[in-house]
Amino acid sequence: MQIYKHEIYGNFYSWRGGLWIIVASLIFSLVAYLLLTDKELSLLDQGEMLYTLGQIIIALGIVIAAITASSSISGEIESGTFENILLVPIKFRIIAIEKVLSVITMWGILYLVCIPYLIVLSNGTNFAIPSVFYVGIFGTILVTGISLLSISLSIFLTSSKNSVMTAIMIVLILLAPSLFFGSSLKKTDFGIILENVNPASHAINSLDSVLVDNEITLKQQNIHLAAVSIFMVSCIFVFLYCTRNFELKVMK
Amino acid sequence: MIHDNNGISTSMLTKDYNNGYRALDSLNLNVQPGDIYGFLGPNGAGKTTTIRLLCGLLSPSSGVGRVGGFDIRKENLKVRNIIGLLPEGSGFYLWMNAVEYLIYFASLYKIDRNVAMKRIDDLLEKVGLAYKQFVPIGYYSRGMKQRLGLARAILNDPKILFLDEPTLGLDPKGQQDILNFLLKLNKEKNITIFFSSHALREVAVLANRIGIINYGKFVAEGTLNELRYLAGNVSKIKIIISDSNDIDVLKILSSLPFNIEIENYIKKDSIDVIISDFTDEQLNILIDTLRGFHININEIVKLDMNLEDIFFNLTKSRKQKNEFNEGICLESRNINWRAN
Amino acid sequence: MTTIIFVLNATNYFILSYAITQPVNHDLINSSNMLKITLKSSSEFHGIAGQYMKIAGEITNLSPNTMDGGIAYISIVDITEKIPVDLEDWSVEKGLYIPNFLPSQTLPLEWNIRLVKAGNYAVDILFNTEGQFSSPPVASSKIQLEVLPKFNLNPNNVLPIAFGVPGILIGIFGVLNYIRGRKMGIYN
Repeated sequence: MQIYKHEIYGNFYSWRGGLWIIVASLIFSLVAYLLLTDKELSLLDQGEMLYTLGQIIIALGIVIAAITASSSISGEIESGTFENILLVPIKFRIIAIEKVLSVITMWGILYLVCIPYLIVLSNGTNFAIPSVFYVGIFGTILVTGISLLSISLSIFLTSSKNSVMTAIMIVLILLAPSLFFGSSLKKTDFGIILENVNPASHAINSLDSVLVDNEITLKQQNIHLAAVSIFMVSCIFVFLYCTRNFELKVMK
Repeated sequence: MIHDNNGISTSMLTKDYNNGYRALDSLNLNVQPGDIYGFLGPNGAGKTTTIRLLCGLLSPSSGVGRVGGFDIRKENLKVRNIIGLLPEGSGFYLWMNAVEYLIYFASLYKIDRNVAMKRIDDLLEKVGLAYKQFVPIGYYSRGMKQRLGLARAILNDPKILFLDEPTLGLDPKGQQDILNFLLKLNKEKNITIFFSSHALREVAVLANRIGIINYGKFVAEGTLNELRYLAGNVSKIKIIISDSNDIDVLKILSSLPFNIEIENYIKKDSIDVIISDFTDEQLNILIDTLRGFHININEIVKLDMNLEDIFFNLTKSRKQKNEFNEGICLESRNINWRAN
Repeated sequence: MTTIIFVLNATNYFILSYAITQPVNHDLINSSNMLKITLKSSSEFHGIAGQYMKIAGEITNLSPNTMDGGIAYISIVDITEKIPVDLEDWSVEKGLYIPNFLPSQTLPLEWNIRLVKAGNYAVDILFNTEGQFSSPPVASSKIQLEVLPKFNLNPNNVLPIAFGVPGILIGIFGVLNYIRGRKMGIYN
C-alpha cells in the first residue's frame, strides 16, 4: 500500500488535501451557524436543517472526489512522474486501486469532520444517529463510484484539464436535479425519470425521507440504497475495463 | 537470441500507434552483457519508443524482445525488477526531499528498509546530493534533478540501465559528471547501459557499441571503427592557414582543381581548409599553391571520420545535420570549389 | 349530539364532520348577517420569533335556521411590508371546514401558529360560506400582532463547533507543515 500512503502524505504535506478539508469545514461551520441562527432559516424544522447540511456534505464529498481522482493519473502523466511509477514491479490496476483508496480516505476524513456538525444540528432530536449513518453510507457509496469513474476518465483522457472538466460536468449533471430543479419540474414525467436513474437524487431523496419524513429504517430506504449501489457497481466495471492495461504513449 | 541475464536482444520489434503511425519498424538489436550501448538517432527516430518497449512501458505490435533473458511482453514484471530507467524529462514530487523520494521508490521495489537507507546514503553521496538531501526537490536545479533521477534509476541495483537523453539540458560540467558516473558504474558493477542520445560527442565518448536508428528503422550497429568501415571510412586532412591582408586567399583556393571545404574562417586571421578523401597529389598541389603566394601554413592535421560523418554517410541525409549540431556547436560553411 | 372528527388529508385541511341528528334546512340565508365570529384571544399580542401562539375564536349562527357551512381560515397581513403573509411556515392547519350550522349553534375555532418572522401584523379570522358567491366573507375583529426578532448568538451551542473544528484542523495541518518545514530546512 505504498502508493496509497504516498498519495495521502502528498495530499496533506503539499497542502492540497488539507486545504480541501479546511475549506469544507469552514463551509460546514457557516451553513450550520446560518441554519441555527438566521431569523428565517432557524425556524426550519431540525430535520430540514439536517437535510440541508447533509446535501451539502454529500455534494462537497463527490465534488472533491471527482476533482482529486480525475487528475490523479493524468496529472502525474503530465508532470512526468507516472513513467517512474509504471517502472516498478506493481500491476497498473493495483496502482489505480490504491489511488482510488486514497481519494476515498479523503472522503473519510471529510466525513469525520462533518460528524460534530450533524450532532450539534440534531441536538434535542433523535436524528443524530440516522443523519450520521445515512450521510456516511450514501456519501461513501457515491464517492466510491465517482472516484472509480473519475480515475477511469483520467486514464482514458490522459489530459488533466480534460479529465477534470469532464468529471466536473458529470458531477454537475448528477447534482443538477436536486440542487437546481424546482419541485414542479421534478414532478414532470421527465423529472421523475431523471430522479429515478440519478444516484445523487436517490441519496438526497433518501436523506429527505429519513430526516424530514422520519423514515429511518434501512428497509424504508431499500430502493435508494439499491440505486446508488447499482451506480457504484457500474463504475467498478468501467474501472476494471479501463485498468486492464496501460501504455504510456510517447508525447513527442 | 541472448539468454544471458543482463543482455538485450530484439527480433523484428515493431510498434505501430493507433493512428497508423509506425514508430519502430522491425528492429533487430543485440546488446551484449556489460556493454555501454549508445543508441543514436535524430528527433523522432524512435529512440524513446525503443526504450519504452524494452522497459515494458509500451507493448510491441509485433516482434520479440528480451531484456535480461525475460520476454518484454510476457514477463513484464520480471523485466521491471532488473532494470532501471532514467527517462527524458523525468518528473519529481516537488514536495518531497531526496531521501523521502528514494525511500518511496525503495518501498515500491520492496527493498528492506535498513538496506534501503544504507543504499540511499551511498547513492546520494555518489551523485553529489548528500548536502541537499533534506531540501524539497522543488528547490533543485535541473542538474540536481537529473542526478536524483539517476540515483532512483539505480536504487534497485539493476542489471540493465536505460537512459533516455541523460545529459539533455545540462551544462558541460553536469554532462561530464554524468558521463564519468556512468563509466564508473559500468566498470565497477558490470551493469549493461543502454542510452539514447542525439548528442554525438556523448555517444562517441561513452559507448563501446553504437546503434543508429532513423525514421524508425535500424540503420547500423557496431563499434566506432566498425561503423567507420561501414560508412566508407573516408579520411580527411585539415590544413590551417593564415589569412592575408593583401591577397584574396579564398579566390586562390577556389582556383584549385579539386573539391575543398572551408571551416572556421576568421577574416585576416586563419582559415581551415579540409580535403575529404585526399590524395598525395592534391596535398602537394595545395601546399605548392599556398607557398607560391607566400601564404603561411600553420598546421596540418589528419582527421579520422567522426561520428557525425559516419551518421550522415550511413543515413545519407544532409538535411538532418543541423539537428546534430546542437550539442557540438559546429559552425561550418561548406564551399565546393571546382576549377573551370 | 354532535361528534367532532378531525381528519388530516393531503391538502392539510382539517375537516370537521358532525353526526347530524336533525334534518338540514337548506333555506338560503345571507351568511354575512346571520353568522358572527367572536375573538376569544386577546386583540393585542406581542411575541418573539419562534414562539407559538394560539388564535381562538368562535363562530355563531345567529339565525333560527340551519345555515350552510363553509371554510373558516385566518388571514395574516404584514403591516410593515404591506403584503399578506404566506401561511406555509406559520401554520400547519390552513382552514377548518364546517359542513353546516344548526340554528343558534356556536362552534369553536382555533389555530396554533408559529411566529416565523419579526414584524407587525394584523390577524383576522374569516369564514367563507359555501355557494354564496354574492355575499362577502364573515370577518372577526383584528388581532394586532407584534413579533420581535429572536437573537441567539449560540443556538444549540454551535459556536464551539463552528470555530473549533476549522481551528483544530488549521492547527493540525499548520503544525505538521511546520515540523516538516523545519526538517527540510525551510523554516530555519
